[in-house]
Amino acid sequence: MCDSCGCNLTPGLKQSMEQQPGHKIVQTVELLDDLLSENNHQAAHNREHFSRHNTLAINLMSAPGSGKTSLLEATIDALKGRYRIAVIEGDLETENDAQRIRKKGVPAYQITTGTACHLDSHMVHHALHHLELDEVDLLFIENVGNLVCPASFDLGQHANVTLLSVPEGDDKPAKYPVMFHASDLLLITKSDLLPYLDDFSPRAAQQYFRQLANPAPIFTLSAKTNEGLGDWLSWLEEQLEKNITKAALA
Amino acid sequence: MHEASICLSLMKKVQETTHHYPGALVRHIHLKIGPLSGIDPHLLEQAFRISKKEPALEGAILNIECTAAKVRCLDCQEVSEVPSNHLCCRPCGSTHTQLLSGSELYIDNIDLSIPEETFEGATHV
Repeated sequence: MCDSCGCNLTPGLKQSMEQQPGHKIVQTVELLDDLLSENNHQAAHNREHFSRHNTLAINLMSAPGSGKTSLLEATIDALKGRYRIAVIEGDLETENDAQRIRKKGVPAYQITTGTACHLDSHMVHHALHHLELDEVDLLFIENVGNLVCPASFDLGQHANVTLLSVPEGDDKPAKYPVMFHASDLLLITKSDLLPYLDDFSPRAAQQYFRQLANPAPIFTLSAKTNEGLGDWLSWLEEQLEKNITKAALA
Repeated sequence: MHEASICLSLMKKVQETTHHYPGALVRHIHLKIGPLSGIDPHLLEQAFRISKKEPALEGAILNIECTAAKVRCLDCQEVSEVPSNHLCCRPCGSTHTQLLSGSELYIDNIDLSIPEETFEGATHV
């Protein structure tokens, strides 16, 4: 099919051609271009940057209020002596979360997105200029609390961790499949509330999650009582080991 | 509404293309969007309607082909079309599946109408 004689014209195109005086030649230009290519390109750059510094980057995603910052506080308490940790916080407004992290003695950079409902790879790249990655083994990126938009944007992370808190209901993976499909680990959080919210079934949450054909591990924990925190910490250490091995091989 | 940022990216890509065709008007933009891309086609259309201010884009029509989620079963090898929140094999129910389509988010092609007198100067992209 050529681009000049009009043999590639669709009926709609022929009509619009006729409606436009002076514009007689119509051409279809094949693009096959990913609409997220710019974000993905920057994300790949971020990932290279992390690899160069042997930094493991974890993207935490969830609905607002599911306990991402509380999980980070408990994680910092448990791992602080052994690994150098830093946090990038994403919120529409306030420095509240970054201040909570800094109180734990860990560097934190707050991205305030204004009205944007997600972090993108350019925002994370900008944030990286404010952190000394040479001094960071483990970087958490706490995404904007939102079960929809953050799932579409690669930030350059090594793994996506999604939190599902008990008060949210166990059918969230069925309602927000894009987010849960993209998860490398599912954490059911606020398990200390299970005795009070008996309509949440961890088994049902697991079933909804598995229906997305996602084989990722699922841990249930409480950042308040530290119950179940060990599985999460072991998973993190496993990822850190893998990252170190990968860097050594490279 | 992250469709707004996707729309900006769309406009940029179209402008990069029309740059090679002086005086061209964009007639149609053909997109492919899958249910697992996380993008709502209707919201993207709305964002596009608000954004297409410049003359080259004013008359452009967004033509979105919504693809279906399809999986191949790694147990029984069957291919089936499935809902985006139930990516198990339709015939045998297995959760061991590979996603074949459903996460598309790309510009397939664009139709331009080009003034006859400048056509000679058009370059292929």
